[in-house]
Order: sequence, then C-alpha cells, then structure tokens
Amino acid sequence: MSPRPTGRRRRADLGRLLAGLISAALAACTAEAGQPIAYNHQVHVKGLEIACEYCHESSRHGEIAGLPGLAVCAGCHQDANGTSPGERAVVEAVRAGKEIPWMRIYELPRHVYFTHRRHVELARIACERCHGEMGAQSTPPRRPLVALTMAACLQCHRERGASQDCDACHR
Amino acid sequence: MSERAKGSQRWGMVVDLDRCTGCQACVTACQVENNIPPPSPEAAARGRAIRWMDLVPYQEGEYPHLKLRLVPRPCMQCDNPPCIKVCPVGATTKGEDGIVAQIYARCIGCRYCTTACPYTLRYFNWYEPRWPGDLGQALNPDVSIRPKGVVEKCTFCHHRLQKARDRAAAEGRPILEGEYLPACAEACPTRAIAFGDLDDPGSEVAREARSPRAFRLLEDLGTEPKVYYLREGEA
Amino acid sequence: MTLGRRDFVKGMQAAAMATACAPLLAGCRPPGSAPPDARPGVLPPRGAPESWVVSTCGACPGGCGIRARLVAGRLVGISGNPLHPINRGGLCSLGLAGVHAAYHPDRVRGPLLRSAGELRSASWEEALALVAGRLRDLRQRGLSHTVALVDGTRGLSRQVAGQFLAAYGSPNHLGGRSWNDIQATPAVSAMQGVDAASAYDLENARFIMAFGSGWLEGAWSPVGAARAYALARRGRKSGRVQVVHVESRLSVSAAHADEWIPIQPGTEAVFALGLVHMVLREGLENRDFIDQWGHGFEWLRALVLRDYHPDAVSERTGVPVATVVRLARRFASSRPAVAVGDDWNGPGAQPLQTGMAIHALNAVVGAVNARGGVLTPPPVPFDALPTPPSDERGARGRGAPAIEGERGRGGPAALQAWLEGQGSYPVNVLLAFGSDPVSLLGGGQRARAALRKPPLLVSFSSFLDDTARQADVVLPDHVYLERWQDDPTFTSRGFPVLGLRQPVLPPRHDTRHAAEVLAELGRRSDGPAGEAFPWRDFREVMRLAVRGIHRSGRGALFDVPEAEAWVETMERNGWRASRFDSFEEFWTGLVSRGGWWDPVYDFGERGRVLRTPSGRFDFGPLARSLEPSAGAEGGGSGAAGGPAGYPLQLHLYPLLAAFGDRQGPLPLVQDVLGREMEQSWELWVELSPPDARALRLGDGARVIVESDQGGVEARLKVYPGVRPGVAAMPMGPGGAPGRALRRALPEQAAALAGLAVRLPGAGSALPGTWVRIREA
Repeated sequence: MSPRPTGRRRRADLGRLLAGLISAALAACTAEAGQPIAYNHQVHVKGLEIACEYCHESSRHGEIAGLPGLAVCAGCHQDANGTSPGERAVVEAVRAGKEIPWMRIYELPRHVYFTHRRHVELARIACERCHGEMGAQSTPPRRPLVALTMAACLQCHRERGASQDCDACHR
Repeated sequence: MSERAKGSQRWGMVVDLDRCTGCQACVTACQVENNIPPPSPEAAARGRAIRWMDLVPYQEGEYPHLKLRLVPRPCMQCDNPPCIKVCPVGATTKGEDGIVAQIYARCIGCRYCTTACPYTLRYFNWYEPRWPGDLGQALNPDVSIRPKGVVEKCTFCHHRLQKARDRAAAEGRPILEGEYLPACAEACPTRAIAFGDLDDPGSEVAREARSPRAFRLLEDLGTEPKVYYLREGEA
Repeated sequence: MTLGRRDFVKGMQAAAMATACAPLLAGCRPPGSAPPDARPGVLPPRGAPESWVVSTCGACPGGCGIRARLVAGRLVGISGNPLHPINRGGLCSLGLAGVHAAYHPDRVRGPLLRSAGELRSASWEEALALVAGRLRDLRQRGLSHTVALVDGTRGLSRQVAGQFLAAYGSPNHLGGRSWNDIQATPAVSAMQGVDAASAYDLENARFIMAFGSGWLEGAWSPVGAARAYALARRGRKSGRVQVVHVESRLSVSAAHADEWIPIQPGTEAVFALGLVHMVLREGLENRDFIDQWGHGFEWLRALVLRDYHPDAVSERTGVPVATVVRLARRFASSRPAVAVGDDWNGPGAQPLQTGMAIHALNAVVGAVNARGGVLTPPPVPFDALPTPPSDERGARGRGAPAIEGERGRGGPAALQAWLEGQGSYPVNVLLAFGSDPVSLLGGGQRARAALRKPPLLVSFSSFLDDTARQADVVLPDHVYLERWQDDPTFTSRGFPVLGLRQPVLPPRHDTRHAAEVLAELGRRSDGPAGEAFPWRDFREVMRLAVRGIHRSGRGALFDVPEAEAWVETMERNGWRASRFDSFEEFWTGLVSRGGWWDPVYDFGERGRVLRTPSGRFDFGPLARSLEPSAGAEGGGSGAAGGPAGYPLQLHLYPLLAAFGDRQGPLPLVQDVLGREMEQSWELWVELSPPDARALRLGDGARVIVESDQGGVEARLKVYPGVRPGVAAMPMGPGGAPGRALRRALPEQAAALAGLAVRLPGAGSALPGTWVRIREA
C-alpha cells in the first residue's frame, strides 16, 4: 500500500470537522420537550438540598441516570406540602397511582457507548459538567442546558487524560 | 480513562484448526451479536452478504489425496493495517489496545478500505438494514445498527470490551483473562478460538501464538495480524 | 499448513471480484434487496432492564444448555450454559440463531382449520371440538386403532403421547425409531437385544475408524460430537487420536480425518468385514471379550474367513489390498479403538447389515461396553407416570395390528407403505406430534400423496411445515423458548443427562403446549383417556417424574467441570444420598442450573447392555444375513448399478450447520449452509471433475438432477472430493420453504430419494437412489 498524498493530520482534521458538523446537527435536532408537570429543580435541589441521585436513582451506578418513578415522588408527596399547581398535580398522580410520563431531553445517539457509572461514580465528574446548573432551574428546561457535543466530550477526555480512542466510546 | 494503564493490552486471537470442526457457530454467533441483517438470496449471490466472521475453504492436492481445510476468518486486526492508511476521513483507526475500529458516523462509504484490505474482510452496506417480520426484536442493544452506505468490519466485539473495562474499573482491578471474549470465541463448541492479551506472556493466546504450529495469513505482507492459526497435526 | 499468497488470493477471488466491481455499480438500485415484509430494526431503549434465563436448546435433538439474554422483555441473545455437560458453554449455529425462532414470521399464530381447501384461522374451542368429536366418534364405532400418532418428541412428552394412545385404544404410536430424534441403534438392538442409542467414547479412544459422514455432521448432538472430537485431538495427555474416515465423498468429517478412504458407496459392510477378516486371520481379536461375552462367533468367523479375503474386498470396495491390511492391523493394535457408524443409514442394500458389520468390528476388538468404545447409556431415572386406566374398547383397539410392526421396527417406510394401501385397515386420523412426517418421508410427491390419505391430518407444528401445509387442522405448539419440557440425553461417555427446558419468553402467539393439548383431546374423547391426565400443566408432569431422580440419590446438578470428578469419586465409593433435603430444593436447583446428570458409567452392568436370549453379544444375526441363502443381496454388495439411464449414484449428506433442525427456516442458518463448498442460498450438486467433463458441464452450471422419483434444479459444483460415479447433494433441515425467507432448499435433494432420508445418522440416501444430470 503506498501512502496517499494526503497527510494523516489533515485527514484527521477533516474528520474532526465532519464529526463536529454532525454533532452540531444532532444537537439542533434534539426535540424540545414539554414536561407533563412543571417540575421545579430549584426548590428540591437548592432549597431542600436533595441530591440528584435521590430522584435519578441510577445516576451513579447505571448506564442511564433514570427518571423518577411515581414511588420516588410518593415518598414526599402523599399530601400537599405547599400550594403550587405543579405539586397538586403530583399529589393527584400519586393518589391515582398513575406514573408521570416525564420526558427525556438528553438522548445520545445509539452508536455512542456511555455509562453514568464510569463518569459519575468512578471519575467523580460533577453532574453540572454535562447537565449545567439544573439545580438552579425553577421550570423544566425544554432543551439540554449544555449541548452534548463530541467536541465537549473530547475536551474533557483530553483534560483528564481519558481515552481518546474512537472505539472507547463508539460502537 | 485515566485509571487504565495505557497500551497495557494487545488483544489477539488464536484459532486452533486441530480443534475446529468447521461448524460455523462462530459465524452465526457474530451475526446475532453484531446485528448483521440476514442477506437476501440475491444479495448473497452477488457477494454482498456481510459476514464479519466467515468460513473459508481451501482445497489442496488431487483425488484421492485431496485435502479440504476449513478456516474461520475474522478481521485480522493487523498491527500495521493497510485499511486505515487509505481512509480519507479518519473513520477507521487503530486504538491503543490494537483493535482496528470503524466509526460508522464518520464513514463516507468510499470503500477505499475494502479494496486496501488484502484479506477482503471489510464489508460495504449495500442495503438498508432490514429484518423480516419481527426478527428485529432480537437485536442486540449493545451494538448500533449501521445505515446503508457505510463500511463495517469485525470489531473483536469491542462493545464487550467497553463493558468489561467498566466492570473492571468499578471493581478497581485489571480485566481478567476470559472476562472479555468476542461472541465467536464464547460460542465455539470446541474451544478452538482462544482470545486474550498477546502482551501478557502468561496468557493462553500468547503461549499459543509461540507454538511451533502457529502461523498467520499472508505474513509476508508485513500487516502483522493479531489473529494466529494453529495448524492441524502433531507437535 | 501453509497458505501461500497465491492460494489465498485464489480463495478470495469471489469476494474480491465483488469488491472490485463495487464502485462501478454504485447508484444502481439493487433488485429485491430484502424480503417484502422486512422492516428497519429498532433497538430496545438505552438502559433497559436486562435478565438471563437458564434453559435448554430445542433447535435440534442435541439438548445443549442455554442462557437466554432478555432486554426490555425481548430475547436479544442466546449463549451456551457453561455448566451443561453436553456443551459446556459452547453452542452451534442453530442454537445461536434460535433468537429468531420466537419472532419468526412463518410461525403459526393460532389454530387453523381447513375449509373449502384453504387453511383459515379458528378458535381453540372450535379446533379442539372438531378433533375431539372425530376421536370420540371413531372410538364409539370401535375404530380407535385407526388413529395413529407420529411422535417426534422424547422424554415425558413421548410418555404422555403413549398414555393418550393406551387409554384411547390405539397401538399406533409411530416413531419408535428412525424419526427426527436420538434413535435406538438397530445393530445394537439386533446384537445386544437393547433398544438404545449408542454413545461413542471418542474422548478416550486412541484410534477412530469412522464410516459415513455421521460422526461430525450427522451426530444427534453436533456440539457434543464436536467437543468429543476436540478433546480427543488436543485435550488429553495420552496423545492425539488418529482418525480414518470411510466415505465416498470428502465430507467435513472426512476432511478432519488423518486419512480418507474414498470407498465405492454401498460397500461399507464389505470393507468392515474385510477388516474383521484380517483381525481374525492374524489372531488380533480380543479373546477375553469373545470368550466371555460372545455368542455365535464361530459361525461368523467361518463365513468371514471364507468370503472376505482382502483381494475380494479390495475388488468390491475399490480400496487397495495394502490399505485393508494396514488399517486392520492398526485398528486391532491401537487400543482402545472404536468404529463409528453402527447406526448406519447410508447406501447399501441392507443398512442393518452394514451397521452390524461395523458393530462386529468393534466387538472383535472388545470395543463394546468398554472405555474408548461403543457404550449404551443408561436412561434417566424418571418416576414412571401413573398407568392410564383401561376399558374394553381401549384394550380391543390396542390389540389391533400395529402399523410399524413389532417394537416399531418398520420405521417411517412402514407408515408410507401402509398409507399407500398395503395396511390391513385405513388410517382415519393421523396426529403429527412434534414431527413433520411429510418432510421426513422425503417431502416429495409420493410422501405428500401418502399423507393425504387419512381423512383427518392434524399437525401440532409451530411453523407451517410440509405436514402443516396439507393438514386439516393445525393446533400450534409453543416454540421451545416458550415452554416447559424435559430433555433427556447423554454425553459421549455414556453419562445420562436431563436438561430442563423452561420458558424464556411468554408465548408470543395464540399457541398451546402440545402435550397439554393432547391431554385435553384425551379428556374430551370418550372413555378413560380423560382420567389418564390428572395434571393441570406439563410442568406438573415434570415435577412428578423428576421425583424419581431425586429419590435415586444418584448424580448431581450441573456444575463446573471440576465438580465432576468429585461426584464420580463419591459414587464409586457408594454414596447415593441426595445432597438435597427436600424435593423443592432439588427442583429449584434443577431449574436454576439447567439440569441433572450422572457422571458415572458402570462398565460392570452387563445385564443391562446384553439382553439377548443368550445374555451374550450375539454375532448370529450378522452371520445369518451373510449366508448365501440370505439372498442375492447378502454380503452387502449394493454397487451393482442403477436403473438404465441413471448412471450416477446419489449420495445425500447432512450439512453440519443445520443437521437435525427442528425450527422453521432461520435466515442466519440459511446463510451459513454450504459455505464449506463456497455455496450459499441455493441447492447444489457435486460431481467429480471427470464426470463433469464427460457431461461437458462446468462449475456453476445450472443443471437438473433426476431420479425415477422426479427432478430438482441445482447448481453444479465440480468437486474433486467426490468419488467418480457419485453425485453428492446436501440434505437440509426439516420444514417447508418459508414464505419470505427461503428460496432454494438443500432438502429438495431428499425428495429425489423418495424415502426417509433426513434422519440423524443418515450418511446418505437409502438403498439405491440413482440419478442422471443434464443442463437446465
């Protein structure tokens, strides 16, 4: 095989450019989601100092962080603690035993391998690094606060000396 | 990740032809594991069936002293892979543990690599991936579905490596021998396919690769395959 | 082995051509790229819950242990159960492709009834009422014996079928032997008086003389056979086994032998007897075995010494005299040596005689019921199911002449002949229970016509197989991944094994467990058959029978290989106490580990393995068949030549990847069929280069292969590994062409032979199928 005239570096740059474009396109395409109940992260996280993993139960040990099931809400909301219409809706759902259909707004493409365990439990990366100041949000964000781009992944991997192999994350 | 000692493993495979019966369990194991859509008869007739692991027959000699050898053949995972040198978009790379990866999202389908591979072990997706009836229910969630128009190849089931790495890291230990096996090695009824770290001198693959029975395909090309074969017979 | 670049490139040619031409074709829309009902795949959601279920494969009779991987309730992978002693974590192509069995588009989705010539959907109530009504009516008219059941099951399902027929009143429990399951070896039945399948202790043999292509490709447990082979080659300290293979085609088995003997097909018995001749003439026989356990030996000795001189043998078989002499010496001097093929079902006028000749070869060197020889595995110690009640009608029905004759000796051929009018009464109802009789009889016109004779043909198939297609009622069973079932088998060392099958998926369609349906039919038909089934479901039947194993205190639950030696030591020292306090504990272990086995073979049980009238190993039946008075076919000639105009002898061989398939056509299995011959998705026929030249046909030509049974189209493969004068064709899995999935089928070849050829152990077509080949 004779080496092709194009140098390795230039090819890699082109590849990165392309990948960047794709990531940007993906981020733009992420569907804006309206949550069924206007959940207030600020009250729970900043006000009551409830840890993220209290509701996102598998965020430390699972592949995905998970959205809270009704049982989690029911732990505190058997009866109304306040007066907000959002809480009223939660209490109604708890009483009716009806799961709340929370919408995921973070979705990775299927050709990316990612686990929360690796990043949260082992590498001790703060949730905010990828998810932004969720704890400061008084209404549910309609799109990710921090865009999940491959560039962002790679920057962090570079900073922390983590693998930059393509197949460490792609599948 | 940072806790893993870099370059500490070089994954390789040793196929013992004296154990192999040619049953092709490895071929089917690979196709199920890696979400390879079943080819249509037409696709198969045109040589467009995708078989990351394939059984290749070789005939030698003349009747009645004819020999038939059946050789299971995955990607050779060359240490010096001709395929990555020709990729114009960096869609195929060799990782730090030696696996030649294919990044489908980057591939533009030019097929330079399929031509460059001297073993013809890279496959182009000529068709939209489709499954008859409900067969798509059986797809493996660990492996992505490749779109029409990209090239794919054997990955040594590296999605299994990703999981094994995570498990080992969570338990604060290195990956154990046998903890990470590609689907073909796991399925082989005769244990003809050994898999492991060629750089660990005590591993089964490293020992077998030093066997006097060991050889590699097209060794003189200098591709340095990490797939070894053990020939049949004594010694 | 050295593969030069040139050889390699040659091997790659087809693939390379396709690749090289690829850019030229870009942009062209490929025709028919996927079946019409194909859909894009959708992965289960990320992070969906995952679980594993231990069970037993049911794709073929092999009985391997499996672990099913479920994600979000979908079956997404099957791997081998590492604890199961048959497969120890390995699995074959069929078993792995089994993930598609449950989701197969050709499954029967609910009961079907034929009306106005077409099968239409019906309710279970409607379908059961129709069949039960017919059964009741026949019984009341004293015609219960005209109900026949073709049984492709084993273990407790077979016992339930037996109970049903006994209580209902019919002697016709067909499939006593030679259907699609592990079979009793006829030669062993004749010479040892035991109706049991043979186990070949290849792992401990030093020399293997294999007859026919059965031992790797056609073994009832392909994984078990492959593991035994690998262990004998590379897995033991005593050195690498030597293998000689006798067959008219360089099959996969032959390719794995150290020496291939391309024999004239049909003369295998002559060759085996030629070896016996040399062993006896040189005094190399095992006197201990013959003196202590032999019967009728002198009779055989006289005949063999008189008629099977190496010169005569060489002339008839085409094997050089020096080879006969050398192999006989080698066979007798490498102890233990074993001859494989006593379950002969290949070419030759008298398959039983060939099997007996091979079995006699084992006996003269003492390789019967001995380490490294042919073993007779003991049965799994189930508790017997309660004897069904009987009434006068039932007793009368049971007393009628049986279609298959005494102990089912007639096999499938007897059923075909009976249906064609040779029987003493017509069959009014035929129940195809876990079997596909049309395809087992070759799938051709003749088989179809014969199976159209019974006024009511009922199939229990999960797939629209050949029989279901022409059935009047289809009562679809679950697939093996959806049901409870026992799977009694044995290892190559003769250890009995009970694999436990439990559902890994809920039933996907409106199907029911076939044994439960049969019980329901029994309850609805008149008479005591209703009382024969006091249980609710099949799991309860299993729990009843398994109590016997628990009580016996023998063996152990599946465990890591290291535990095997421990259990064996315990038993050798007389420990028989179960290590489980309660039955519930035993049952739970059985379900979670996948089964039970007894890793001990008692070589001292002569009474169990020799049940002839003399209590000895009887050489008499073989001697009798060799007497000139036994007819022109005595001596297993069989190479006499075919009918005028059919110059080629047809050799049908099993395909390793698909042998014994019980499922519908799984596309991934289709894809691997024939790769060893560089074929795919198409039927092919192999001819030697001189025969192809004589016909002026080249590799890849489209040809018609014709016998007096009909013709099929195939692609010609010129293969120097076929003996000149022989046309070799693969026989494939059972079942009919799938609607969407399958096109050309290897089993079409079986139709040429016109008679049961798709049987475990079948090396090739039954007696005398001759063909001619012409350009299509």
